Amino acid sequence: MNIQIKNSSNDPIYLQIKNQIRDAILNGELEADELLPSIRFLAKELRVSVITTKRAYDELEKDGFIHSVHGKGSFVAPQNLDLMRERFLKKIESNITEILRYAKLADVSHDELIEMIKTLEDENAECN
Amino acid sequence: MQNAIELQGLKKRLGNFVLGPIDLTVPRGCIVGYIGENGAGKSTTIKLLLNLMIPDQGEIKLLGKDIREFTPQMKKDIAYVFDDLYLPEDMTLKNVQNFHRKLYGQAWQDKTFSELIARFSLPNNKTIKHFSRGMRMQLGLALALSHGAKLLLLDEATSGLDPVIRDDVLDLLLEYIQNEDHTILVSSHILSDLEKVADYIAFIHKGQLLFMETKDELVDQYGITSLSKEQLAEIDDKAIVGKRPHQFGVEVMLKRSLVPSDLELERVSVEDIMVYMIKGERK
Amino acid sequence: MIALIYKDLVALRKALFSLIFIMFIVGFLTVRQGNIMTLPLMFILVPLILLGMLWGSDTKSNVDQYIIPGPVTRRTIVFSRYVFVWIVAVIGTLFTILLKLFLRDGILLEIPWYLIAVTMPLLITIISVIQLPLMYKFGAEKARLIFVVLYFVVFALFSYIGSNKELIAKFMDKLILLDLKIIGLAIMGVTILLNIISFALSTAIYTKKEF
Repeated sequence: MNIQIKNSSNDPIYLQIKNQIRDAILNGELEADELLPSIRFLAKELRVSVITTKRAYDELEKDGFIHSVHGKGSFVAPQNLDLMRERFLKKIESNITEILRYAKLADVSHDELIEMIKTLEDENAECN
Repeated sequence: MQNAIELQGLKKRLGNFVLGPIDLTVPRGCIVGYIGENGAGKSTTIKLLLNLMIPDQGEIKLLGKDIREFTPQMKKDIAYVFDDLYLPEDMTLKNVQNFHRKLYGQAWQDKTFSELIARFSLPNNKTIKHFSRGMRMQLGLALALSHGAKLLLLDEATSGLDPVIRDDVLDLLLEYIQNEDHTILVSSHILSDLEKVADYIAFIHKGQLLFMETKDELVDQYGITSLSKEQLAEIDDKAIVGKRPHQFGVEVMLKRSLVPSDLELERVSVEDIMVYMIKGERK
Repeated sequence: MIALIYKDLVALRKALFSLIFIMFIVGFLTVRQGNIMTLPLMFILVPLILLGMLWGSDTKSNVDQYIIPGPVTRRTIVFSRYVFVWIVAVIGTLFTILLKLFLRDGILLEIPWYLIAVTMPLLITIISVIQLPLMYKFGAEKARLIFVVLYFVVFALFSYIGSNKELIAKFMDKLILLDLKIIGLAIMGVTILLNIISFALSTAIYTKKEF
């Protein structure tokens, strides 16, 4: 698993850690029941405060991504991936509806929209 | 959970300078940055903790026990590093090792010490008179970490060290704190890289403890920005922590909660907070 | 305790070597001149010299600040200083008795060995016993002044005793009238008492000291 902390980011450090672990869980990089690094070890490797990593883990636990066993550590909670996927699809659907509304208002054709998506994707790829 | 450090109404007068009364609680398992200007009372506090000075009033508990009741055996649980290594300069590294072996007896961890010495590649047969400042501090830290202490006190120990050695020190501290029973208090007028790993910041100014807060909350609380003088006039006075006016505008540190959310603020460092608070108070 | 003595010995390593060297030369010269008494008397100055050096070294390295928070009590730190002096006293006394056995010098031969065994510790520790509480109280700088004064006092005393051989003889005559064993016991008692008082004083001063 990779976690990168960017001081340039506007997000607080705990949020950066939380989001990156969450993404790793969602894209399957971290599997269910996998043991996560300890709070102290993570803090040491990333050179951040223990309170910061603890907060990231606490929030992940609150959101149901991980669960902690006292004395053993934190584990990835089993995710209902089908349910997740459905939720994401719904989000995409509602966003596309919005996009289509704006496209109609600005008179943008479907081909132009697809072109825009491709350009954005390329740009994002470059950034990463 | 037991606290590593508890100070209650701690007071000490030294000529015109008065420290305290200070109330401070440091939970176990964390790193505390104890910051303030030179002469703010950081070293005095640490000397009181280490029984080098005797308080006029108040109580000091380390690892849950009043320091007046500490036996030599219990003192082995406390490690300390000062701004220099206070050992006779004619001692070689071997002498220093022998001395500590005799001093700490059973608690002395020869293996840990040898590993640290090898890691820093400190010379075995040179007297410490010929050690550089960086080497003296590395040795001091190696000694402090080699008798199984639960509380580590650093008094300006990293000031004036070059960045590479500071980085080594940071690594060692982070390894030490992997044990949840271990606690570190670092006093310094300049935290720089150590700031990243500190859990709490305690800020002392003119002998008074202004606050002790978790670093994350502290840093998230404030923001810095550059404004024109007209823009500044629109900001709530209470929101201004400190400012640096110049000919072409003003740099200000603001409380995020008291300014409009669309005002773009830069993240602050602990040092920024220290500087702006002290300067803010002067006006 | 042992750690502290070890630290003192290491800090004084060079000084000890040169001191032994000097004493060897002086000893050799005085023996050739037939003036054996100089050698035991030199031992009286040894603690004075070594304590002065120790104080200098400790002040320079600020070692008290390092040791006090460590696993020793302040009392032990003071005690180690006295032990240091007592070690010198034991060596000096043994040396003098050996000298009596092998060299058979006039004055030494007249004094019974047990009187040497109690007098030498008194002579060797007396200056330190006065000086140590003063050093703890007033610090190295002022203590150095006291050191110089004491040095001259001792020196004056030596030359006085040295130039008044009849005085020693007269004194010895009077002493012989008394039971030497009682005198010996009295000297031993005074030595122990002085050392205990001095140690208690030093400890009381050092316990209140701030660094």
